[in-house]
Amino acid sequence: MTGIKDILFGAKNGMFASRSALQIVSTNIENAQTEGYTRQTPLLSPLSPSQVGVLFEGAKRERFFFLEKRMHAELQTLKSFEAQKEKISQVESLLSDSEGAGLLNAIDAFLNAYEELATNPENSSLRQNVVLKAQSMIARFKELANSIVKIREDIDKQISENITEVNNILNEIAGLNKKIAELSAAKENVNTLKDKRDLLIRKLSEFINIDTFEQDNGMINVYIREGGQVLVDKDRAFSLKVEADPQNPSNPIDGTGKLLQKIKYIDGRGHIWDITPFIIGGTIGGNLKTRDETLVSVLTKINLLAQQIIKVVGERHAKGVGVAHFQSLTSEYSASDPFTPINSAGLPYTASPGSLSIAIYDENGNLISTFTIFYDPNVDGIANIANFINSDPGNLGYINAQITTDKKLKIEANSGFTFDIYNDTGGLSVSLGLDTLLVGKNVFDFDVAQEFKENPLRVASSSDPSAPFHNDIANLIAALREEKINGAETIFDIYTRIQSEIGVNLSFINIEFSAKELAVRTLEEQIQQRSGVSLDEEFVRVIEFQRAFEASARIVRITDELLLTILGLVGG
Amino acid sequence: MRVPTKFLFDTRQDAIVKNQANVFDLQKRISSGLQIIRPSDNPSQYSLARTIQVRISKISRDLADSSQVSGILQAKEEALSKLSDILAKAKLNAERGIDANSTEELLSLASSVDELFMAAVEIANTSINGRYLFGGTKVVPNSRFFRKPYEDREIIKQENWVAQKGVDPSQTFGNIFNIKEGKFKLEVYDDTGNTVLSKEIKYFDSDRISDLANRINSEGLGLVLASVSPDGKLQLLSSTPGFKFSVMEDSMGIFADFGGDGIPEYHGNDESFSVEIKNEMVEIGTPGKEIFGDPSKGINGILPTLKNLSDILKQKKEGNLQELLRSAVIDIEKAYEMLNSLRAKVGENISFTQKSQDFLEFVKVQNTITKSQIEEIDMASASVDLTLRESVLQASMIVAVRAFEMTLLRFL
Repeated sequence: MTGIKDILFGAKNGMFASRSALQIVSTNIENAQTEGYTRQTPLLSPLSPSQVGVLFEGAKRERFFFLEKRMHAELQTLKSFEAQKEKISQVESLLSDSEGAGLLNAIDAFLNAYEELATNPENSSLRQNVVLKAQSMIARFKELANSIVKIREDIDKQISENITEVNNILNEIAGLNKKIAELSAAKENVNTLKDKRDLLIRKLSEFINIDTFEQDNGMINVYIREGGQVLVDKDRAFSLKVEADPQNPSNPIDGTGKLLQKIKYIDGRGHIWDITPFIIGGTIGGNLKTRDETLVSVLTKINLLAQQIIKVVGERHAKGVGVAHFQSLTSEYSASDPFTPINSAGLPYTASPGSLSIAIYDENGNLISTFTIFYDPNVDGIANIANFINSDPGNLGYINAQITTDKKLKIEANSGFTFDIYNDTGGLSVSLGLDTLLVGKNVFDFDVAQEFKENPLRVASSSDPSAPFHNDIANLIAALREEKINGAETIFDIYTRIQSEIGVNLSFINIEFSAKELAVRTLEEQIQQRSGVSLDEEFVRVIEFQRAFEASARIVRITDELLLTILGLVGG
Repeated sequence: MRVPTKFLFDTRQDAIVKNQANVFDLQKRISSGLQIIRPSDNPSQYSLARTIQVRISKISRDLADSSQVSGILQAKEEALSKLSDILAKAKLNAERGIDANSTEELLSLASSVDELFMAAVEIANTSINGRYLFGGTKVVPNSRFFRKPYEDREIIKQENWVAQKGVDPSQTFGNIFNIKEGKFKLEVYDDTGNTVLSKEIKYFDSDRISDLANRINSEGLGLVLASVSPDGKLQLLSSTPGFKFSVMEDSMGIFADFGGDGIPEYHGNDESFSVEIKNEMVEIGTPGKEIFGDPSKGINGILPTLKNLSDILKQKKEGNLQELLRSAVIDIEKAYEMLNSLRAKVGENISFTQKSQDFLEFVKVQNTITKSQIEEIDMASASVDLTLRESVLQASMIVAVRAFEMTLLRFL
């Protein structure tokens, strides 16, 4: 049978439980805006049947563990798309031509300059204009390529900073794991620590693709989701580092000589593993994807376009003559060996068997002789070419060809003569970089050949050395506007395809980003609905527990009155 | 459904930010006037707009070219029209010559023909913007090497020739002509027309006119006697009766400065100069020798025809005068036919160019409209859309304020 003492004891427990519960509610209210805070609900339970009252057992974190895991996965994808979106938008802006100052307009202006020259080949300022427009086009090409490299460098820098943050987070998680295990063993409240750790895991998910596994002692292990490498094992954190990998230069055409940064994992025995292919999520994953796929792809295509322009313009230019000729002409590219066949001598462009004509002019510019040499680039080295020129019966001591110390072909006219190269049928000039208006092994060293900068009157417009003011070569180059240079596309088609591909890619990423953003928001809403603090709800609870406390206090007063009554009876 | 306070704040904030972004995006498009700014806005339409942009650029270039070509062709047509008049007058002179009663009358007609000849030479050398209309791909000279299509009258099969202009006998060719070296071909023919001497003779910057005469005397093996008058005029004389001589292919054209005789040597070339318009090649520079003639190649044309008529009227030609003149009239009619044929071709090109210009203007406008439709924003619908987006933004702000006000805190 319950005695008055039991009632008092029960009331005391009730007051204690209400006060503890109010403390929990108060914590909830105070942390209503705290990032990562999980709403706690007081755990109250009746005392055993033999006892009167309520027991405050502690505070329960209101969490959806399953939803949070899904949230981490979605967040990793979202952050990956976000990083890609940011960087690819920059590339898109570089490629954009809407303002009329982009590469497309520069190529257009270059071909227009040739067309203008074709209409007025006698106007020497138009040859200067061709050189200027070529330089302008090249400047746009280089600006574009260098900006892409700059974005790549920015990404590498950002990855490096992110990896430092990741390592800090991993260390913090390991530290929290340790504290949580210790305090849990001592039956202490570890909810705040767990909130902090959950927040760190969430932050980690924003950087890389991870998975987690909670152990019985409350510790959480963290893994790379795709590769399975352990990042946090109980209270031990493993570190990642960023390192340029000399064994694996992924992008040899960037022109900077810098190697791409790789992400390395250091295991428990100090072994270093390249885990770059496994990092596919989060900001780091998105940046890696942009760097290794999108940027490499765009840069490769821009580079290829530059090379195609150098080749097709060069091939056509080398078929013609200018109105000013050469006293001396040195090839742009060095052969690996003068006697190695041209197509195997490490030159940037290959040639086909063909012939090349040389026109000789006297000091008054009168055409006095022409002769033609025949070559097979699969057999002849540049030394053979020099020999063909020197020994041709048509070369009556007019010019002399030699190999320079840096293994280039140099042709020099003897005193009183000048010369011009024309009617190259196999692309030898392009292969060597000889009398081609445009030169360059790739987009980074793309340039107008020095001899045309020095004297733009050397720009060819005519295939006839006796009629240098003819326009057939200028027409041929201007016609590139509508010719399919790779068999299927014009120069403009190629460039608009590059623009379009980036546009489609970014458009897809934008859609995916929006979808993931919605998914994350929906999950966030679901999680918040359970874990978030509602001030209204908490105020109701305040009233609820305040009233419960008042009720318990009243029971104490009533019991006191009961006791006084009984004492009065006894005392008489 | 529980609505936690932070969630309420966050969602309202998100809604406001998103609506602000929507308004900003549309404002940006309205201020730029473009609905497609970047490739990702609409990749296929962006690509199409760029293709059209390149097409418009090409059309603009073609329009500029066709405008220039049109001007040149008009000038060419005018030149050919004048030639037509020259031939008509020459024919009239020839016909009058048939009926002429005196040598004086014939010489008067010859003088008139000579004037027509000079006018024809001038037309043959017409240039527009540095390009000769009848020089093939030849352009206005910028050195002695590049000479007019019709100058340097050759001394063709003469027995006696005196320079019309003299040069200072004390000055070197370097000073007079600003040349270093040149050469010409001296040919001598016997009385049956066979070539008995063909010699390339060089001259240099250090030479004076007397040095040239000495060189001709020594290289000409005495067949041609060269002398210089006190006023610096070169004179050439065949030493053998019946023998004739020619001076041709003068590389630096000094004989042109002396003032030659005969039909001008053609210095143009055989390639026609054409400009591409609307993927068609329109001829501007016509090789002149087909119409004006090239005596060194034995090609008859307007100039040899006129020269022949002049010689007939001057009675330099042997044979019946009337017959010769009738033959000359036939030659003039043939030249006239050639001229008409060329005029028809030029007329066709003028017509093509003008039609091309009209067509290109039309296509340019159409392309510009299409590009505009693809790229540019529809201001009316954009303005309505902006109003809507602004209203939604305002609504989201009002909802946020109301939601924040509805808290139990106010009632406790």
